[in-house]
Amino acid sequence: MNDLLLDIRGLKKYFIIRSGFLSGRRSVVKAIDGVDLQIFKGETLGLVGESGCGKTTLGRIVSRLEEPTSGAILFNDENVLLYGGEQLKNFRRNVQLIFQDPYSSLNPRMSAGAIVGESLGIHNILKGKEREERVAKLMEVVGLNREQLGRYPHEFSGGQRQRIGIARALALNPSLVIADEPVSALDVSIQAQILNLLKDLQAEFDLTYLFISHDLGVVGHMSDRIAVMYLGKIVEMTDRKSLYKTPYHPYTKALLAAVPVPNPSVKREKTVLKGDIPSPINPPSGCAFHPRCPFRMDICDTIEPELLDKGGGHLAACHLSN
Amino acid sequence: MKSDFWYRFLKNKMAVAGAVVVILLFVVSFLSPFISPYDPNEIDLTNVLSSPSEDHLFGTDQLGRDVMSRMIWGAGISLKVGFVATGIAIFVGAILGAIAGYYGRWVDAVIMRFVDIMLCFPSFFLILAVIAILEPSIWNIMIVIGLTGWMGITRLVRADFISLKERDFVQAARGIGASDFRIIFRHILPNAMASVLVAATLGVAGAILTESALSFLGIGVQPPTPSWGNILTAGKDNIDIAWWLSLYPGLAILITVLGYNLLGEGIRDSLDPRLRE
Repeated sequence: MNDLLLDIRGLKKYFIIRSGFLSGRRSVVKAIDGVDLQIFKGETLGLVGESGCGKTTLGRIVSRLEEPTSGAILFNDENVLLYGGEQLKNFRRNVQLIFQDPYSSLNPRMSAGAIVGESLGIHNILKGKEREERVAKLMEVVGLNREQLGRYPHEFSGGQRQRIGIARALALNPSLVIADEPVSALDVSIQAQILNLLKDLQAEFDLTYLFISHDLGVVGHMSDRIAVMYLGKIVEMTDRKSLYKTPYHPYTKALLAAVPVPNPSVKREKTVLKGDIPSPINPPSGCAFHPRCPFRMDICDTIEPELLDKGGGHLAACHLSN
Repeated sequence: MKSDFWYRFLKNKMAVAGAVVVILLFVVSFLSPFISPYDPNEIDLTNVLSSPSEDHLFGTDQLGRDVMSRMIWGAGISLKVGFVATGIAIFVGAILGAIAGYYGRWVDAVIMRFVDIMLCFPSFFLILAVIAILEPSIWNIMIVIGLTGWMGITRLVRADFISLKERDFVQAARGIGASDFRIIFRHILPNAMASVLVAATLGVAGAILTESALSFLGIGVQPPTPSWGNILTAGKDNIDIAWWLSLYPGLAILITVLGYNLLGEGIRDSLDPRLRE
């Protein structure tokens, strides 16, 4: 359980935006600003944060769909950012993505079977009958019929489409699956089915998940450890239990307070966030969270808190608990 | 989605009329050896410039050849020129548009500036100049019309690629290790074909018109090979005594071009009703 699978070190992704036609003024969006993250074999690491905090970008960088500005990503102790050509192609077999929107993640002009089996052709795995059989198996594994192989995406429902997306991700037998908001585009009743499917598949195929979501309820259901992201930085990271029991960062507290509870008579401490996430073009000084923080202190305006161990491996970046 | 298309298409009477014209032209040109009443090149000097009659429905020309037969054979020439020229235009346009849209940055800038330069030339005069230098054969005409007509398709395909390449299914294809070639031709291009199809249909009409004009000017399809354009040339010389030599090929060109335009616009409207203006 404690074998390191993926080690992200000092990852940064800056987007440069040119504004003005002649002036050539540039502003920099710090989508990811120095993230360190470890993922261990067989676990599910949940990554939560509001939209725009950089969590999707992080997933795309790890799967090498986007290049970071700086940093290193060690996968089985090799820096995958240095990969190119064949090495990169082989790396892609190990890391697969599940996308948020099942309506745009499937090619409308390809049948379900062609979508699921495409990667087997690209990597020259199995031929003819054997490949067909594997694709059919994959369909069954994700809860679809092999009779549906010839159908096109528009003939499936949203939940079924997401299952096809999952089957596509599994086709290459990856060790790490990055699930980028895999259920947020689905109905609540379907969400539970897909989440349970992901859990079953994890047990069956020894998968490691990087589970990205804005919904702490969903992440809590899925994850062993949880990292909370705010404006391109990890602000708190620990195992699920201690995050729920003793959240240090006021942002985490606010996210936890936003999770609906089935029992309406339960009284909870309410932390309601004011305002929107600030623009990453011009992040606030000091602690990026201070303009929205209910417990803001003077120090927060000027000095950026470091991500420190608050005991028992519970990391948090907040002056309050220092 | 497919049945929606046919439903909207069949409801559009003008589009159906265009389709009927186009289908008729196909039938006529494929069956021309069987349905033309005379050999199109058979000269009958005893029967020069005779007006339409039972023997010669559309009359005869200045060499006594049957105009109807020549027009039936000319339909095949028009069709061939239209499709081959448009095929060349699509081939060049789709590939350049795909590369420009997919790779972006300087590749895009270079290709699109080249498109702008090509669009600056008045294409008909460019064709005239090229044909004047080269030999005016039917193949040269097709190639030149094709190579001066790809720019619009490049722009269309590029625009589709720019929006489609950001879609998740393209990212997913990259994620499973698909090559650029595969992504461009297997994933994006099939999704960009709808607008190409419309442009192609309209392009066929344009190519037929250009071919007729060139033949009319005597640098297109060379006699004795029949073409609507060179029948018109004969008509021009004899317009005061043989109206049928001008009227019938002129009508044929008009109806054909109209038919393709109606069909193309019908396809466009049926593919996406929001495009209808």
